[in-house]
This record gives sequence, structure tokens and C-alpha cells, in this order.
Amino acid sequence: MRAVGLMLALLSASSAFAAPAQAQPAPGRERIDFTAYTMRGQAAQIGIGAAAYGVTDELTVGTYVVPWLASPILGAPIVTAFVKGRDWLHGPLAGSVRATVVYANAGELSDALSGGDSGSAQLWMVPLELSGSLLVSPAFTQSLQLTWVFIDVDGESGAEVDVGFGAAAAATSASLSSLSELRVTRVTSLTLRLNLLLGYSNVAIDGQLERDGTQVTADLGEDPDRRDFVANFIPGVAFHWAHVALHLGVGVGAPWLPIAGIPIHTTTVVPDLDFYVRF
Amino acid sequence: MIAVLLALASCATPPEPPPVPTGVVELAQRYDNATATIDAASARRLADAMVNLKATIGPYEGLFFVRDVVEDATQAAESQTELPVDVQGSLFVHAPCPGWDAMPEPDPADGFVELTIGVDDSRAQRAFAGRAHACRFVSNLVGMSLEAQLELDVGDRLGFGDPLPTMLVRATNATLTSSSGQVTQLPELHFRLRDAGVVEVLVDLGPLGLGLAGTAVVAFYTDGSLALRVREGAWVCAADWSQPCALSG
Repeated sequence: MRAVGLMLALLSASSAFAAPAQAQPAPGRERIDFTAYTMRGQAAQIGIGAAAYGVTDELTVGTYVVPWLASPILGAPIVTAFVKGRDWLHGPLAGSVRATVVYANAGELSDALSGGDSGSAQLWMVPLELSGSLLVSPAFTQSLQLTWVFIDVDGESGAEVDVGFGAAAAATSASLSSLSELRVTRVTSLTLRLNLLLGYSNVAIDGQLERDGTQVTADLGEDPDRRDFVANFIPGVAFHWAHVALHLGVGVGAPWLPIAGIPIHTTTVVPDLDFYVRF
Repeated sequence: MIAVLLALASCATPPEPPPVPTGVVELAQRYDNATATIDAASARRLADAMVNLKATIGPYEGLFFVRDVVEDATQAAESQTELPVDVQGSLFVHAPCPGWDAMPEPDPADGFVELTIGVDDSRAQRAFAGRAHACRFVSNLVGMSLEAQLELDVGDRLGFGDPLPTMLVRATNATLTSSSGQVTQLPELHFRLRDAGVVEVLVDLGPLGLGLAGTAVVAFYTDGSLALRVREGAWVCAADWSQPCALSG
């Protein structure tokens, strides 16, 4: 409630805010994460978050950079790709859909991390986003995003593992995100990001584990009496120059795993950082 | 992160943990609340009388490996502790028995122990049931093979990966066969395994003919000494049987 109140206060403040001309939204500079906006056609972006290309004004394709950079270190590639399409009206209310695919050979990844042999497990994740952004006033934009994540793990543990995992399973997770942007100058915006876990499908561990010759068949599911409120809020500041953007924020709550869109069930300080160049 | 992702799967309804075997829990409470009251002289006489009990319980000391089985099972499950939710259900454990000879790989001929460990609120339930089937182990340099229904109590709910403080074993329909072919059948047997190889047994003193009443817990230490835990404390009796027993808090 406190976070919602803060957002409403920000919203009302924006209505009363007489936006200076230099605080008008600059077309083509909008962030494409957590909003309904896409890249301009033929524009490209590279940053610590995503690399993206505007095929047209309404269609953006891209990939996430960090998993690729980490692949040589991890010894196992994590393949990511997304496609995002928005409405073609380009009015004050924008709507978009984004589909992302993440693939990892979880067995290889686990081997690389543990130094062991965990067998072959395939991990597929498909986050789907439905976003809406409303230009409430020249100085204020409010975005809402519904994220639904499908996760599929299919594989089995190796024969020599100390601790392994095998599963054939799928799960879904749904989250609601809000991004409020109050532009105070042409370059600088104050931001407030909220994330709320709407729910999981029934979560389970259903697989084989092995340790020192002891085989354990896990048949575990989410305790229905133990669903807690999982959310975070992250106030921050964003700078959008002609070709460079920097987003900084520090909040509190449950951290959401980047790309995956899944929260970790703990309460901690949640940083927010993105930096990219557009050309 | 990977643990989170690997841990996510779907099922129609969450699995229910199995019922806690109440018999072994009640027995554990009796272990924790010995009722006898004895003096130093009685403690010495009782300690002397426990020689036969030590001989009876001795072969089962080889079951200490079951403690490792339970610890291994919960430690394996610990790899999922990054779960974003609390879980419930079961861990079905199948562990090869140690066998009579040291082998690099488990031999199916050595039998196995199977346990179903209930999980509630992401913690193992305090008591669970299982069985030992043709389970071979070595105790006091003698090969043994055990067939029994098992109920185990670890005293309290156990977090994944937590060390096991104690483990009460209640074996029913137990058949113990030595490698020489000697068969011993016991309708019920119970003992508690503690750290450092300590074995405890709850003894009803009335039938011993020592003029004592109530219950005492006899703890056998690996150095040959023993302790008699009764209502007023624990009588510690040194391995040197000529020494009197001393009461400690």
C-alpha cells in the first residue's frame, strides 16, 4: 500500500507539474524495457542489458548481452532472443507484446559451475510480456506490464554425480510491473519501478537427486498455506542523452531475476542498472 | 539462479507429506523422560546388568550408516534451498547398505535401506518410516544382514542440510542374520544413535529383578563406559567396573 501511495503521489505531482518544454518526451529515446515502446526503424542499441534493432518503428528484435558475455566463462552458451511489436497508432497510449526465448543446456551449465557431471538437462524459458504505456502529460509517462513466464526443464542426471538433478517438468509465473517516469529535464527523469508477483503455477521439484550413492526421488510441491506477498519497489533516475542512456535505481523487496522475470523469495536491497548506446 | 529454474515444475495438486509415524515419536518422548530414581549403589548394579544388553544391541551399532543416509538425503535436497516458495511432499530415499567388504561401488547383493521422508514447510518431518531389506553391514567385525520395518525419529523437524543430532531407530519384525548363518528374530527393537558412536537404549527396570522401578536410558560409549540417565540426572559409570558411578547434571 505504501508503494502504491507513493506512485499515486508521483502521478498527482506530475499532473500539477508544469512541464518545461525541454522535458517533453523525445521520440526514439524511450526505453524499451518495462514499457510498450519499441526502437525506431533502422535504429540499433547495444548496452549492458540488451542489444536490439528496430526492424520497423513497430517491430524490434534483440538479445540479452550478459548471457552471451558469460558463456565463455561458464563454458556453456545461454541463448536469448526476443521480438517485440507495438501498435501502429503511435498515440499517447501505446500497447505492445514481447516474446523472449531463453535456452540453456542446464546440465553443461551446472557442470561448469560445479565442476561435476550433472548429465543433460535442457532449460527453456519463454517470458511473454504485455505492456501498455500512457503519456499522461508531456512530463509524465506511466507504463504497466504483465509478464508471464513459461519454464520447461527436461533431462536427467548423470551416473557419476555427487549432487545431480533430473526432471521433466514445466512451470509458469506471472508478474505485474509498473514504471512511472517523471521527466524533469530533456535528459533527466525520475523513475519508480514496482514489481508484484501475481502467482506461480504449482511449483514442484519432481526428479532424481543423488549424493554419495544415496538416491533421492523428490516429490515436492508448493505449500499452499505459505504463499507470501512478493514485491519490490525501486526508485531511480534515468538519463537519456542523444545516443546514450543510463538508468540507475536502488530499491527494496524481492529481487527479480533479469530476463527470466522470476522473483527470488527474499527481501533485500534491489539495484537497478542499465546503460546503452543507440545509433 | 539455476537452482531456482531447475526447481520450477508443475503439478496439479501439491503432494501431501506422509503421516508421521506416531509410535516412534511417543517412544522418543519416553527416551527424553526417563522415570527411574536410583542411588549410586543401584547405578553400579544396574550398569553391571547392562552387559547383556550391550551384547544384544551390539550388532545393530552397524546401522549407524543410516544416519549418513538421512543426512545425505536432506543435503541432496538442500541444493533446492533457493526455492522462492516453501514446499511440502516427500523424499523417497533408496540407499545401498555398506556390505561386508569395502567395495568401491555399491553391490546390489548388499541390500538396501528405503525411507520415505515427509517434508513440510521446507523441512523434513521429525519421524519417518521405511525398511531395511537384506541389508548387509559389519558390526564388531562380524557381518550382519538385517530385514526389518523401520521407524526413525530425529527429535525435531530437520532443515535441509542440517546435521542430524540424534536418531531413534524402532525396528519391527526384525530378522538379523550373521554371516555365519545365525538367525535372531525380534518382534520389536529400539535404540537411539547419537554422535561419536554413542548408542542409547531405553530400559524398563522393573523386570530386571534389581528392585528398581521406572525407566532409564542407558548410553553406551565407544570407550566401554556407560551412562544411566534417570530422573535426577545421569549416572556416569567408567569402563573400569571397580569404580563407583558418579551423578552428573
